[in-house]
Amino acid sequence: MGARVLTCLMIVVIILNAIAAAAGLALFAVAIWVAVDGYKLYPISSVSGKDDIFAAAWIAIFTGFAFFLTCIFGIFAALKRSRALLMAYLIIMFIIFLFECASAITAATNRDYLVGNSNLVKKQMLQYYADSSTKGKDITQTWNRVMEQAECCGADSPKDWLDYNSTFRQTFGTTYPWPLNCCNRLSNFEVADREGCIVGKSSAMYTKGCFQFIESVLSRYTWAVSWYGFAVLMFVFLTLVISMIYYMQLD
Amino acid sequence: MLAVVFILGALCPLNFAEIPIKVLNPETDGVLAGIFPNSFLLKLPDCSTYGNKSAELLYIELPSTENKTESFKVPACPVSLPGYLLKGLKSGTTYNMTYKIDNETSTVLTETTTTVIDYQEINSGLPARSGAMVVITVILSLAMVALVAGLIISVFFSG
Repeated sequence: MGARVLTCLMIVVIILNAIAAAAGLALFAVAIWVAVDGYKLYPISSVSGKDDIFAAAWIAIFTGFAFFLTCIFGIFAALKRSRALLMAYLIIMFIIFLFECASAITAATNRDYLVGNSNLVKKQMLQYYADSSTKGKDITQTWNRVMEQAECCGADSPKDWLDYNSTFRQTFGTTYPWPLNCCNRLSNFEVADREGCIVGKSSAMYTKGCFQFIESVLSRYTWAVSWYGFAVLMFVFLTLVISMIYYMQLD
Repeated sequence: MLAVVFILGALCPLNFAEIPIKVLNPETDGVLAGIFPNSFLLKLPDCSTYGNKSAELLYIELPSTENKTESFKVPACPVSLPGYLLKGLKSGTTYNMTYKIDNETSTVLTETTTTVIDYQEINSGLPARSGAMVVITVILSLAMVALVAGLIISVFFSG
């Protein structure tokens, strides 16, 4: 192939690798954000045993940074026009590609298990809220925080506490139909209308369900890992195809 | 003739007026529910007519005939609570309830408490696969296969 076309191809490979390196670094950063779990919803997935959204985030931290380093190596290999270095680059990129595929697919699948509908979150709340086991304490703390933050009660609505039996009902059922975190609070954190809240007055308590908030946070984490990972992978796929063509033209 | 009828009507004793009794309605009364598994939320007697009077709520758990009473004071206007909470009931049971203030009674209200479903019966299995998951899996699997094919071609068939 002509020397000019080969140079052109080399420049395209270098540019694509530079962009892939930047994208990989961004994936690394986004995956760290998911792993840090600013909304502190990890107990909801760990208690049910399905915490693979966060496992996928940890894999994406590794693969994002590995993409960054390997793409820089790829720029170096393309400049040197070395067949051996380019083959090493292609094989390493392929291995990282496989891991990142696993991360993206795992995150998307696990999200379906956890928040496809409100049943799992509701059952977990009824079983573990106010339970004195370790799982119970985690879930109770998480739900208390969610109820305050999102101003909500129950999974679909406060009626979940009335329609179903629960550990909370067995412990406190005679006094409180639902936790006091469901009640409207004043700015100094005191309950605004305790008697009204216990009786069910709509203006004294939060009447919307918490599932929408939990689902939106877990979906946001999943889209960060799986959709952004997917986008990076499609771009890396293009880069690898062009790098393979460049490799085949070298002698 | 008409005047006689009116005068007789005016002399009619007010004892025949009835205290309204009903369970609160979530749609119209601004509460979450009126019927609970172990209690009822009943509309309080009118605060302007019966405010500050002591009242009794008589209730019978069907099918027995044992009369139970709850005494309370009708709150004066303005009222903060939306209704009177009758507690300590059994779930899935029918009750007859009546108010009694001084010598007036209300009609008999018959209501059944709700039953409670056990949480173990909630099916928390996989509901369905989302479209996003199917798309990502399919496209990434195809990309992986294409890359393997490309690697094999570039290793064994390059000039």
